[in-house]
Amino acid sequence: MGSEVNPEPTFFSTSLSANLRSTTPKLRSVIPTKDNPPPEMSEWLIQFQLWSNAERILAINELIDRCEPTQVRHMMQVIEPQFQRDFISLLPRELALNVLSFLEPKDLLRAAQTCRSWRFLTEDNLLWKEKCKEAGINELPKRRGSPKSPGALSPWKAVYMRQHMIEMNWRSKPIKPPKMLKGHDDHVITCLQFCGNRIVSGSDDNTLKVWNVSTGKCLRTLVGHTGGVWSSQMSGTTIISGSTDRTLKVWDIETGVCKHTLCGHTSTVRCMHLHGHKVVSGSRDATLRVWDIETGACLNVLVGHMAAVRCVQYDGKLVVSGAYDYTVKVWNAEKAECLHTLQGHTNRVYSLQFDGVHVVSGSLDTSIRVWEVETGACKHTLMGHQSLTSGMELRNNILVSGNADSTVKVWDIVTGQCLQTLSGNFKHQSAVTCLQFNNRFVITSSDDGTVKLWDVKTGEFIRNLVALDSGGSGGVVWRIRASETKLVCAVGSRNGTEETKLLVLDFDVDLTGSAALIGR
Amino acid sequence: MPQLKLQSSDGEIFEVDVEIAKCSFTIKTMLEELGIDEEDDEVVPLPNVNSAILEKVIEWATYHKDDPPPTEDDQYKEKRSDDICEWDVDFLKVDQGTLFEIMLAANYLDVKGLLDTTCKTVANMIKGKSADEIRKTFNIKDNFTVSEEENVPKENGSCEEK
Repeated sequence: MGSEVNPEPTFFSTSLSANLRSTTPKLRSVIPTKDNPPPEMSEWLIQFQLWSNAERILAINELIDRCEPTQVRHMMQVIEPQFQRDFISLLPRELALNVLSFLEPKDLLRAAQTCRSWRFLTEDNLLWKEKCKEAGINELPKRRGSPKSPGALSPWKAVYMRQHMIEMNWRSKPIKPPKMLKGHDDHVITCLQFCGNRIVSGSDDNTLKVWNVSTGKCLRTLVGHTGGVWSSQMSGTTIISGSTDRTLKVWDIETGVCKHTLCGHTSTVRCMHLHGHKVVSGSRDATLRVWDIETGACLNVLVGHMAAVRCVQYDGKLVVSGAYDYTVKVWNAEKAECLHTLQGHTNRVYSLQFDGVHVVSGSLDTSIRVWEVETGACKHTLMGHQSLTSGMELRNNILVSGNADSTVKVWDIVTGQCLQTLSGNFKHQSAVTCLQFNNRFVITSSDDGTVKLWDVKTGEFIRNLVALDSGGSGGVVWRIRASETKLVCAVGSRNGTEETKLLVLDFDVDLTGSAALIGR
Repeated sequence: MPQLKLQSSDGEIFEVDVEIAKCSFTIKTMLEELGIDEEDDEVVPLPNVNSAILEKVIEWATYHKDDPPPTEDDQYKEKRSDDICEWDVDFLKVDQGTLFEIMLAANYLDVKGLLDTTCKTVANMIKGKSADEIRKTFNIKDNFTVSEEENVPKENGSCEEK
């Protein structure tokens, strides 16, 4: 730390320095440097080294006492770095990684910019696997050509970064203009399925349409029903539709062929739930039917409701049905036996969720009830909504309910507590029509013509993903379906202000940019 | 309370309660495997820890002697570093060199709680800092080549807005 780098002083600098120090009594002929120390210094240092520890400490104290403040400051500058340690580079690898494991991703990314060895350690794959786990990412995508950030060594880091960028696209980045998929004329889209690169829309124009997500093209129209389509289920390339013509139809969406027409119901098929190769349908004829979609056979008829069946859930063993007779029934699908009749609602039951343990029912009586499927006992009555609960989704113990009162509520069904109410200044202006949520966001659609994004944990409004110009004057969003990166909305109006269509919004990361970087 | 003699690398002998010494999984195993009887007047040599640091480790272990032992579940707990107890925060107000040596000693002696609290302390020194501030804090030389320098912020900058 030689502060004066001047191995061979010139005469000029010497005399200049001499002039400047003209007040100092004793002048040296040259400026002292490492190579040219004052002659007495080595003697002085030898003496210092001869002393014991206590003597040296004493000498240092005396020396510091005799120093000018600037000299003490210089001392500090020389000494301080000696007490600094580059922990991450110097610690054994597993300890350094232990330290880094306490950092959040954004700190890790900044730490990576510090120097090479930090960068190397902050690329550790297991470290990022842990960060992914904390963010709810538990799997590496297996598909080939998964986007990698350039130069990133860790596949888990690449996945984390991609997921983060997608999240930012949903949250705040400008929304790319949506694809418009026009069809079904001025009819209502009643049901919507979205899986992989296919969308299937069902309409009260008696047809279903199959769409290619990436091109936005209508691939085919499934014609055959003689009444409006009001319910559907999809699995792989199979779609099942239920209609006011009292039948269900099983279609192959890639060929457009109707494989089976399932006859038996004596009124509108209003709801259905598919599990494996069996589908359970609920009808206005107050019965449910269990069908084999491969053979087209009706396996069982569940009789017992006193009015139209409005909603159904099926887990392969148990069927849960909600009806206009104010009750929810639990059935053994195979034995066609009613196990429980869940009584308590004081009006029609419109929506159901079932996770194998809990049954959650939403009713026009404004309440939501949580039941234990095993015993049939009502565990909680969730109060707070003002109107009909039209749609719900249950994930783990978290329930999100959309209501005609224009609010959405987030509940813990184990405690029965309402965790959040999605309302406030930016709330929907009329009935909530559809919703979907994951561990970050709730997406809701409404008769007010908007699709809104909310933070599921804080309940905060994030932004409008869709806001139809015709919103408020007739334009509505009937149905939404979202994947990790895409949002499909079925929109239209009943008064001609908004043409019936599907909007497809894409929140995926722009691959062209990073692909160009990799190619370099 | 039975005592145990620990010898630091520079030859100093520390008499410690056996229970406190057993905070160190290394010492605990040593006692069990070597069958050192607590009655014996044997000295346990610790050639990797000097007296200044050993004194600190003993001070920490003495204060924390009644802590519940770490459980299997701990490793599945959420990783957080804002839960260092006040006493530890004060205890670890030392220069980086000392902290560094305490970490190495905690690692060698396998004192899980001390290792954890020191790792968290270092993590907290990194948190919220820019790369420049981190370099200053730990006296690190920026040794990226120019082309690396160009790449790094592009790649890693995108989390900043969070």
